[in-house]
Amino acid sequence: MIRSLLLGLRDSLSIALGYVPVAISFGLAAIHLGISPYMVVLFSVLIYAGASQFILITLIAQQTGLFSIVLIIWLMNVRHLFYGPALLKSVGLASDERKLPLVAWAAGLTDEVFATAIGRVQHHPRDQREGWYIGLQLGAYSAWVGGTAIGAYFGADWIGKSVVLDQSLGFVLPALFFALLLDIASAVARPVLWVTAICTAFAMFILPAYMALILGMVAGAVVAALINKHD
Amino acid sequence: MTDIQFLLIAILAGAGTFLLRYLPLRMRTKKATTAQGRLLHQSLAAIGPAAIVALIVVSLGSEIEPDRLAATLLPILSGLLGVVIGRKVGKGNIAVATLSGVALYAGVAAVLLG
Repeated sequence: MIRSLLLGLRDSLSIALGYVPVAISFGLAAIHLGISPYMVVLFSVLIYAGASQFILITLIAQQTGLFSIVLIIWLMNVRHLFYGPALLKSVGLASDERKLPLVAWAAGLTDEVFATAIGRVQHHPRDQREGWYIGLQLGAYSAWVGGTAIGAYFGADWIGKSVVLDQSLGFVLPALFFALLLDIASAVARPVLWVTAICTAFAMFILPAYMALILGMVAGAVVAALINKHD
Repeated sequence: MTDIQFLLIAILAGAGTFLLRYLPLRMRTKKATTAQGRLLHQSLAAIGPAAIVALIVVSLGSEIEPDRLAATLLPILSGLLGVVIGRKVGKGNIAVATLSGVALYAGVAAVLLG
């Protein structure tokens, strides 16, 4: 378990590389709104959902009501409903093969952890998959919380001094997603990928990004079902 | 807002987000035996790759600025090429591929920004 956990931590480095700058930006943006640094870190510890945390501080800045904020955060994270079942299917372990409760599988299931797990888990032997996935979650979570703490407590001194650095940090997560896509693209019918991309792109013109994401995913799943029905 | 209200938001938003991740995992324990069940499973298998594509589109879409099309699009295309090259050089290593993409992106962005 320890060895596979360490492998998971190693594989979480590419996620951490994307998380740390974004988390630092979050920490910075939140303290600029006057939220206490310890509360900013607590947001990351308890919520742990990057995009919705940015929306959260935007809503706080707009003095939105408490329950409206919570409702919007939940709505933004509805896409996570799809991740668990798809993850378990990809991991391919029967319930008696899993040593840890499902709570441990769910706690750190973010977009990036899900995407990396889907792309990489089958590269590991069955008996190492659980430990690897837990390591992946731990690494990503530590990077997010640690990055938030850096932003909230120290970030103001050195962030924003290089335009190229700021711009390049924004490309880390797309680069990670693209690398993962190259890994798994051959296992999926091309129309699924194209329809997802086109639907998401068009949806972005009329819907918020998190809704476009859900729409694209559902469109891809529908195409996959249609292709499988005809086969 | 007071710290108590912030804390309440953090707890409620965190609990809801956790349940959105956890409950579908619990419901997945039943095996699909019907035709509809198999169809659902095949669709779920496609959700992963579809999510990755959708995440790419959404994250790149927010990077592209129509007013500065060349200045934003060229680094992205170079960065994606960097990922492909890094993946070949690093023999499939995700971190190497990601870093190569970011390095090429940064290089082109630096040239364009002067």
